[in-house]
Amino acid sequence: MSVFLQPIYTQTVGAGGTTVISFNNIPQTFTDLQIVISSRTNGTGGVRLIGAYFNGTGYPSNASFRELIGNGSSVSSSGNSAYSTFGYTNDASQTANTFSSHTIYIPNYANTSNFKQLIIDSVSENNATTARQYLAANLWRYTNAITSLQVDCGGEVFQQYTTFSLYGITKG
Amino acid sequence: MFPLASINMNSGAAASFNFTNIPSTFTHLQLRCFVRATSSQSTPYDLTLTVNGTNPTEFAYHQLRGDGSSVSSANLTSDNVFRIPLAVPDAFHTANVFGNVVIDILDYANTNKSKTMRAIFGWDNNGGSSPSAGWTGLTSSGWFNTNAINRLEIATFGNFSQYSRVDLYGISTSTATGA
Repeated sequence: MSVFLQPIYTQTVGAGGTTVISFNNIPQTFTDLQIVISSRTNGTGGVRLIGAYFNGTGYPSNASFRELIGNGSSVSSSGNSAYSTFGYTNDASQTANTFSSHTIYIPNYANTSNFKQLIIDSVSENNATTARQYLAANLWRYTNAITSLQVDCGGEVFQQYTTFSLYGITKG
Repeated sequence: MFPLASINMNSGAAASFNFTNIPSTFTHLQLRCFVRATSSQSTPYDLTLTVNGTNPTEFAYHQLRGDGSSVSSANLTSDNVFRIPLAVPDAFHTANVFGNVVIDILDYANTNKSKTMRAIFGWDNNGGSSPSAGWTGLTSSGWFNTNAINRLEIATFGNFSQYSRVDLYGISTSTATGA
């Protein structure tokens, strides 16, 4: 059987919700990392970006991203030099029981010779004409190996059944 | 990531790929599709997924896509299948050109969640003009029902061409939290 995606950690949010998800002591033995997210928050603003940082540094100043977004009727592309994001989460204003879906790929996460370049594809489906599809590249301008990862949503509470899963990928 | 099933049409064209009795023991599903249709029109066909053998009007899709010259976004509500428009080239397009689609369905067996499908697709026609030159895009499609998914039927307009193929994988999660 294939073990192309080796499960490392999974956190499922319980009934009380949580504002921050942390993965600590990430093994350094894989080549790449992949994160899979199914998310919903208690926000009411429609959709909100999931913020991401690593190694306990808080939001990194040396981060930037380029993004391409569709919302069901229009498209946009922009960039930002202030933070990193894993895409838009569903929130409480959207169709009940509906969660956003994200995959984040982080190559060479343990390599101390390169900056960390991420690619993200995510969607926040909704039973209405508007819902977001999100493609992005994030650059973390650090050469440190990634040993821990933290995500939050600007103080919004990740709702019950939200899941964050971390996988390791080993090259052939 | 475990291979669950693979269906090919090496022996000839057929109307659909049917995955039945999908085990509920994995956390996520991934489908990898290599598809072409035998019908013919300049606009490529939709790839559709009928869930659990029924077609309730409980679905919607939203799509971000580009055709090599412009980018656009589209949606449809009150649908009855998971749908990925423009993903299936057909007999109108260059011979031997197939569409590639990678579909993720997270928490497919979780009865606390509606089901969201996320798909990346693309194909290039080696020339031509829109809508027949090729497309790439990211699609989301929702089934606003919390039932577990145990069966998927993948179809297009008419038949899939010979050598079309769909592979189904199961993805597990860890019991360790890393918290």
